[in-house]
Parts: sequence; structure tokens; C-alpha cells
Amino acid sequence: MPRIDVKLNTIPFELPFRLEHLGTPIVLIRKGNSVAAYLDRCPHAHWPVSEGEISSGILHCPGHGWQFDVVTGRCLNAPAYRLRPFSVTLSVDSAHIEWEESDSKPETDVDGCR
Amino acid sequence: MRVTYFGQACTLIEVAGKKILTDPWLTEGAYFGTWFHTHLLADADVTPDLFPKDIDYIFLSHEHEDHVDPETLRHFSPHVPVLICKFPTPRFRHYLDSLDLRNIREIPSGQETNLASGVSVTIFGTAEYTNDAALLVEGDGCRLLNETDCKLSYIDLERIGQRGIDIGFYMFSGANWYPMMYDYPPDIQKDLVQRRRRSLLRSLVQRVKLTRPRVAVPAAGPCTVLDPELLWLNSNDRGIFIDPDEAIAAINSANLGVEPLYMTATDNWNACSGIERRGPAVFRVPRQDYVRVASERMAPKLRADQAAQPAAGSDLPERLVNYFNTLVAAQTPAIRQRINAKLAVAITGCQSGTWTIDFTSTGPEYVREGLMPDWTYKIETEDKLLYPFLTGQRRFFEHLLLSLRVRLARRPDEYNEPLYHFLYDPDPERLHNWYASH
Repeated sequence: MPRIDVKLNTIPFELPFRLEHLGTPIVLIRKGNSVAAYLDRCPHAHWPVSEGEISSGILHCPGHGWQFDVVTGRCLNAPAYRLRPFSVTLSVDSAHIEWEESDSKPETDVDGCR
Repeated sequence: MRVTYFGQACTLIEVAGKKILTDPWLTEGAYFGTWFHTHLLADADVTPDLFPKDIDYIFLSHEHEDHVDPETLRHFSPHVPVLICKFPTPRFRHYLDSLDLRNIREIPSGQETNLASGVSVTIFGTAEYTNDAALLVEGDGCRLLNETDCKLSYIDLERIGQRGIDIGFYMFSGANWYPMMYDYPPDIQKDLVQRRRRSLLRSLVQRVKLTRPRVAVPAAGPCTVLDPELLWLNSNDRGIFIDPDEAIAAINSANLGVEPLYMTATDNWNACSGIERRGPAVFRVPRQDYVRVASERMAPKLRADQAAQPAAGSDLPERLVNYFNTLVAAQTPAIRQRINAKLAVAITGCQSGTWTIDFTSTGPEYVREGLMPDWTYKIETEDKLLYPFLTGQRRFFEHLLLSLRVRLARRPDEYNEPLYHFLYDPDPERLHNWYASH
């Protein structure tokens, strides 16, 4: 199971923070005392959500504007979809991120919002 | 390479001695008289009659009326090769067959195809459930991208950018009914409209950034709504049909090293000499002023067309029940469960009535008269607008929504994608296959 440790003081608050490990693009979002980690790929058309903006706890995908709750990864436009979450464990000064190999495979595209 | 713009997604591309015409919509008043070009084409003396007929290829992206216009297509030889994307089902192909187009060539997404010596095209299909496609044309040492309305995947756009684009036509304006036609309180609706407009412009900038063209043209909209009763849809406060000047400003402010270019209908771009302005001066006046005058001009015709719209038959209730019962019953239980909606339909006019299509029912009847108190999605429209879909005279139900002559509501206020997919294309096999892998 791939794993990466990231120093907390390198992760900005409420800004999407991208890193890549073993070819897997990851976006970290630090909010308050928590850190969420997701596959950095929008389930809609595979845009890297780390290039999007966060406002009021919502991450806006740069590609076509899909919106995601930064804490849960749930898509607000199409609730059946969500960012693919990775496991995060916090220690005193680090975030330990783990995922299954299969988690890093691209999700299939879905439709826009109407 | 030379390209002349004719509004919306219509471009005439002249390359290596060949002429390729994309999505020709040369009439006005699509979707029951709601959609007009950004500027009326007749003001630039563009009509199907007057348009040159010596076209070598026509590319058609998808079935929307502002992209495939039967009235326009009738003016070209049915033997002109028509290039389309090979979609997962033949629905689009069958529609074009029904228009008596006799030389349709389906090209798999991403496959480069030589049309003639020195001219190749690549069609990129959207990965969405809906059918849509973009076109890349290469020749004369130049590359042109016309996105049409197509939402391409990041990977496709990245690949296109790597090939090096000279001129790209990018969608930037909203082109559907959300959120304007929903029953939001005015302040919430205004906020949603503004959010959507910002999102659309951000998306434009990102797609331009990813594909890195030399010249970026905001295109495929905005449509203009000229019906006096719907004029509010053109406003910046209440509508999502963004002024091209805003798109130009957004690209400029992003400092991408790309030349944004506002082309109005009949303007011409040449790879060597650049832009030649051919559109009439009236196309450069402030948009809201143009819209007001155009609406006054078109109002009498619109009123006449609306009066001529055939009345709904008295058999509307039976047809409605049969139409939806048949379509819902044909779905697998898993698809009905995915949709999990109670679709309320409220019809006004002489054949007024209310019905609820209950996807949660165990069958065999799925349509009930009256509005169930726990409906989850509601469509309200006129009987004479719905009726042609029930008779099969009009085949794409989504076009009713695109007419913007509907009132919509959803409870809870969430996008029900499977329901939308059902309304877009209720083909049971296609829905089954899609959701088997999603």
C-alpha cells in the first residue's frame, strides 16, 4: 500500500496543495485541525482539482466548475460523485497518507450539472 | 488556412483548397423561437439561400438545434460528406439519416483522418453521457480547434495543446436552463447566476491555458433571447449568456500569452494576415443595446410564429401516460432505482393537467394523475410545447428544457444526474451500459 508522510508546516491552510508520489497525483486540503487527501482528479473530466480555488469550504474544479466539499469530498452539483479520498492519519507534526493502488486509477467521466 | 465565423459554433474553414463547414445554423429562432444568434445573421446578409454551396465537408458535433439545423442543411447537397463522431450508440447517426443526409462518415474519437492531400481532421468526443464532439483541423501548416459545446477531458485537451494550436474557438457562455428556470427566490437565483458566470469564465481561461493557442476566439454563444417576455434572460444579473467582451477580458487578465480575438459573424481570420473585419458595424454596439433593438424588430414575427404553433391534441393525457409509462417500464429496476425520482409534470393550456412519473413504483404503472406531495423534480410547461415530443414529431426531449419555456423545481435542490440522463436519452440499453460502469 503506497504511503507518504508530509510535514504539516508545509501544507497551507485552505489552499489546494498538490503533490505526486509514485505517479499518483494527490491534493491535500488543510482546514482547521484536519487534513483531507484526495486523488487530484475531478470525477467529471479528470481535471486536476488542485488548480482550482477554495471558497467557504468549497473546492471549485478549474475545468468545468464542479464543486466539492473540502472535508468530505462530496460533489455538491452531483451528489452521487465525490473526490476519491485517501486515508490520512495525523501525528504531532506530520500527515501520513495511504491509499490502495486501485485508488489511483482514473474514475470514469460523468456529466455536467443541469 | 482561412476561417470565417458565422456565429455560435459555425466556422467555414478553408484549408489546402478544401472547405470545411462546422455546425451550420444559419436560421434564427431555435427551440420554439427562443434562441437567436448573438447577432442576427441576416444583418450580415447571411441566410441559407445566400450561403455558398461549394462546401467539401460538413462537420456536425451534436443534435442541438443551434448545431444541427435541418432547414439550413436542406440548402446543401445531401451528398456532401458529413463528418460526425462515432458515439456509443447510433442515435445521432439515425437522426441525421432521417434528415436525408446520404454521405455520413463516422470517425472514432481521437483518430486522425486525412480528408485530402494536406488536410486532416481529428474529432474528439466528449466522455459524458451526452453526445458531443470537437474538431481539430490541420493543414497549410496550421492547426485549428473548434470546441463547439463539447466538454473535453483534461487528457484530450492536454494532447491537443501539445500539438500546438494556431487558432481555437472556445465555448464560454452558458447554454442551458440552470439556474434561471428554477424556482429560486430572486436573491438566491441572482447569486447562483453570478457563481455560474464566474465558473464559466474560469473554465474558459483554464481550457485556453491548457491548449495554448496562438489566437483564442470566444465562440459557441452566447445565444440571444429576443422574445419580449424572456428578454430578462439576456441580462448580466439574471442570465448566463455571457457577453463575448467579458470572455476577452478574462483571457486578457489571465496573461496567458494568447491573443484573444472577438470575431463577429462574417469576420475572417487568415493565418498569414490575421483578422479582417467583415461584420457590420451594428455588431460592435453594446450588446444590451443591440438586443433591445433586435427584440423590437423580431417581436411581430415571434408573435406570429407563436400563434401559428399547433395546439395540443385532446389526447395529450393518454399520450403523456403512455409515453412515460413505456419509457420507464423499459428500464431495468437498477436504473429506476438510480433515478429514484418522482417527476412532477404540470401542463398549462387547454389540455392542462398534472401527473407524476414515479420511478420508485414497482410497476407496471409508473404515471399517476396529479402531483404526488413528495415529488422531487417538477417541470411546468405549455401543452402545445410538450405535445410534439409525445407524438414523436420532435425527438429530443431535452430541447423542451432548452427552449427556456419551462418552470422547474427540484427537492432537494440537488442535481439528479440519472434523471437528466433519462430525459436526455432514455435508451434502456445505453442507460444500463453507462451505469454498469459508473
